[in-house]
Amino acid sequence: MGVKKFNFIEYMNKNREEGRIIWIFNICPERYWNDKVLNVNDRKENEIVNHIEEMNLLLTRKQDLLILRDIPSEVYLAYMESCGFEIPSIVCPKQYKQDERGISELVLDDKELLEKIKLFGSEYDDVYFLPYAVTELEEKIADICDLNLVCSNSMISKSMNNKVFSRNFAQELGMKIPDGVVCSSLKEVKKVSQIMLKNQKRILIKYPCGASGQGLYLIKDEKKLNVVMAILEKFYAYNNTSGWIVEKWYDKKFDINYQIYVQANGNIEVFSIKEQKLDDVVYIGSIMPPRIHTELEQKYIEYGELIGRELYKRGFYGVLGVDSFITKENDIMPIIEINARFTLSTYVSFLTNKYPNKLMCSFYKKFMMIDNLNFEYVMNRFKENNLLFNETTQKGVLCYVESTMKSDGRNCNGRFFAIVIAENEQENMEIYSKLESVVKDFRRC
Amino acid sequence: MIIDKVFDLLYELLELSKDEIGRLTETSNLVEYGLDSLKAIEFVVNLEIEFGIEFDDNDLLLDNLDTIEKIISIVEKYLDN
Repeated sequence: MGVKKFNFIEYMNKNREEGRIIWIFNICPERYWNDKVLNVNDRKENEIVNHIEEMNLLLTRKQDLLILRDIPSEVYLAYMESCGFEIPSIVCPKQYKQDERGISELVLDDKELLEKIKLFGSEYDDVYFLPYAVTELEEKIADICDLNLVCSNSMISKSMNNKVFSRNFAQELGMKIPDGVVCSSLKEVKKVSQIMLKNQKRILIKYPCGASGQGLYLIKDEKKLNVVMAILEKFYAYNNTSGWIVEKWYDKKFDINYQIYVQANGNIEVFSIKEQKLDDVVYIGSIMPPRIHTELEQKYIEYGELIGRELYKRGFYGVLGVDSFITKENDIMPIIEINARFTLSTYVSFLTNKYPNKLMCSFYKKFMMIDNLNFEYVMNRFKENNLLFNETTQKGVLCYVESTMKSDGRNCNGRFFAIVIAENEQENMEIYSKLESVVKDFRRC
Repeated sequence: MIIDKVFDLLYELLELSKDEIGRLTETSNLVEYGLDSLKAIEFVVNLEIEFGIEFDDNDLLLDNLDTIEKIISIVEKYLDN
């Protein structure tokens, strides 16, 4: 079957029994696209990030193949199934424990696993390979296993996952962009920042290739600017960047993310508009549906269609997410950042179809885990408090990642990923506040 | 005193409440107080400015900076050199 036949949206919604998808959640593709950035390495955090891949189960179908670092527990899989999610065949590389490398590197090191994937790909004629993002590693897996990679190549993906590209692209499309400048050197960054700080309460300095808040600095005065310049000199001076962005900081009414699917034949679909929750610059969750009026939602659909068409002309196809915001003064900035790949919010995008007419808030919480924490313990605590979501009640807390809440008797940090599903905002807030007190029991004092 | 300066830098960086400051000891795990790799980058630079030292790339691990005791030890190592 040709790549042009593949239709992600239809396969997620009405034609879920059609085709077979091989999924891999190769998070942090930036480490393969770009020069290594010097940082303070947090091994425990790396381990957590590597394990959030289980959220892929929000999208998989029974006939699919999911590549994970580790087989999840039966308790977790049974819970996900009881909530109506489909459990696919799951395969894992042999070597995964305490290995910080990305999942695709582990797969490429495991000949037996590559054989299994190849066999799966050859058994049917409608098998598609759909990674979180495309780097040279996933291209290599597709090549070795003879798979149809249903998104554009790694060079195109790399070039579009860049904040300078996003800013210039928005400008080319005639969209409003934040006041600011693309600087070609750190000397220029300092000069421009000093000038902007005279008229702005806060400014933002952006490294073009960072993710999850890396390389984003919110600055309110000259003192902080000096510290940030010292950081940039120490940690980024040797990186080849396409430029630094210095922008005015805006107080926002809404942060909005919208997802776009560009099919290989050029068809465009804008499939999920969400309100984003941010901790200054770091994504911490989504609200679905967004609390914006329908005219505004329609505008975002039009922006998304335009962006999809223009990116297709530049060679892109696949799933992408766009971050946007609406200022307190009601100015819309349609493109703040393009992520030409899946994003964490892609995985929760189809829940509005699964649970229509509900108000959903996804979020995550970082915490130090108690020694005996595991998914079963978490489930039981929520059950005792009548907070656990299930298909009968259709409301409560849906916990959708297991491995980041498994302490295995160790003293380590964990992360709680969940979605509060309720009839309305009031009920959602009530559940959330009850949940806060339960989550406290997971923390080490 | 190194310890006083380290405490001061941490209070400012982690925006600790009075209650948290009261509980913080030399062996407290700073990750529990909000230290993460992004904040640690800023903290390393602040230590370099405050003490006139320069961290080796090999020392840039959160595990080396997650208690005040460890921070003091690493600062002393650079000052001795």
